[in-house]
Amino acid sequence: MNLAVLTVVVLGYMGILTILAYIGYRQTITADDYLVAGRSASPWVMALSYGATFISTSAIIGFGGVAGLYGFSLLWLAFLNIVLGVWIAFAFLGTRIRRMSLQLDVSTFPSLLGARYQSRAVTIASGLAVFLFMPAYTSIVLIGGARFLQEAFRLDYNVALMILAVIVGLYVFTGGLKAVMYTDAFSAAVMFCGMLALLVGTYRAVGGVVAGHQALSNMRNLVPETLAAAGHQGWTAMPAFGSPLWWTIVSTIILGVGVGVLAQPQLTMRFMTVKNNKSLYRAVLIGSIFIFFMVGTVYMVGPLSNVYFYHTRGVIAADVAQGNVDLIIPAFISSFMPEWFLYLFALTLLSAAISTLSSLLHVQGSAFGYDVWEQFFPSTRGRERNSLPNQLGVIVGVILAVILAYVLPANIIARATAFWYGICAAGFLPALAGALFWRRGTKQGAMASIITGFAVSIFGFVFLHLAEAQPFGICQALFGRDTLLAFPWTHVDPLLYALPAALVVYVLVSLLTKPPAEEHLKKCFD
Amino acid sequence: MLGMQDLTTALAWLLTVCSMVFGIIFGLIYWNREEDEHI
Repeated sequence: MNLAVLTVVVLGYMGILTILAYIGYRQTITADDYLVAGRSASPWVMALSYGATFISTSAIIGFGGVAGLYGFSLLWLAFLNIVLGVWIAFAFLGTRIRRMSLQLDVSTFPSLLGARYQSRAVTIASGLAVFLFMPAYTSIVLIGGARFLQEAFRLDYNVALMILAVIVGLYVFTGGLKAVMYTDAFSAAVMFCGMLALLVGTYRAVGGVVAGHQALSNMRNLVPETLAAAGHQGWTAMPAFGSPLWWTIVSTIILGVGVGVLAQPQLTMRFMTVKNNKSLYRAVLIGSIFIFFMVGTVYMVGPLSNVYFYHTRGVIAADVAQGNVDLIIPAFISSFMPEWFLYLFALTLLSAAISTLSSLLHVQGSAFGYDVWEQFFPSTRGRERNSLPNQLGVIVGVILAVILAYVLPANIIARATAFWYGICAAGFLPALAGALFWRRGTKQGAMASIITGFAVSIFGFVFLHLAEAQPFGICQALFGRDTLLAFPWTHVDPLLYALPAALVVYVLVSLLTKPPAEEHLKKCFD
Repeated sequence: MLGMQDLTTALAWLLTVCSMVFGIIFGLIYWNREEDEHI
């Protein structure tokens, strides 16, 4: 890529984002505008913003690289992303969340739970969980964006990190959710064009759909020995049932991210931004196409890169990337796509990073300001567009993300994403689903479920799941071994036991405690 | 099927494409559904 051309393209792109952020800023007058875009976003803007927030650089680079290593089995995640992440999320959860948030006059995910359960403690606990755990995810999105800027512009990594953090922090700080959603929607349009061209170009390069798959099937004997020993049976086959690789792909990647999407605070609060359920049904159409061309493309292109590399260089993708899976997709694209596409893909990656980052910082800011600070100091609550606690929350969120960017290890992108999605599903999903669909759910049940979900997840990551327990080292320090239990527990994602545990606790505690007042339930549900 | 080694992976590919088509059809059918204009 020509650095001068790339600079002009990126500056033009940033100029458009600035204009859109300014429009959002001018239209932001009340606290509702800042928090939920005035509840009047169009289905197009909502669906594209949801999609752009969902798909970060980690989904494109990190998960694309993982698909290049493990193969087409990851397509089950793409299927779940569309069915659960769009259809179920929009048409079932979304319609309930939108309606209930309006009836209870709340504007954030933690305050929705707190209002439904009539519990300040639930609001504060959920807000704190978002504010304390989300920075790790924000940080890896920041790392992904900064790595791109570093490589594309040959910038110092520290400078790239600061540029990205300051730019995104600044427009979230001033513009609120309208600025975030307008810029997200534009970023989504850029991402869509980039990924569409990538999918079509890749299948053309490998000779078409069936021919490309067949060529990859014929390469099954090229699977590296270490992967074959872990259960890899070829890029167009599922791993051997019950093998370490099977547990990693099915429990961590497919179920962890696939189910986790339903309880993501930065995504679920998008449903509060539209004015009626019709908008959510329309958004299913837009969201399905968008998510298909994002995750579908990534999980098809990743494995097929092996065919291209083998036919052109005689090696597989993992060899080209020299062990760093995050390099597979960039290496593939720079090898075979025309130069104009490299600029488009550069914008695609930048868009993916900025759109996700801005949404995460917005949610962290509102969790700190609206759900925690204002619960302790109600007198600071105002109807103006942006309160000081919210702004403080955004600043603290940016600082935490930057600090963690230096602390987290390399090759962490896909794993940290799965960690965040899994921990959210276990901690929030039973309480959220119960709040929306089960009138008998109580505040004690919700609180016990949230605590159980997070506690069991963290216990699993620290003491049982090898991939996290080993680098944490706490289990080794306390018990002299990496994990407490042997295989398969070392490879079973904590979501698989934390979510059922949180669900059982929610139901049992709810049934054992006093049901909510009928009058309140009528306000919530009728 | 579809050049894949096993049926499970081929099914994942087909279902991914079909789920997008389903989303389009669902969105079109419900495009003008009026159910909650009062809220």
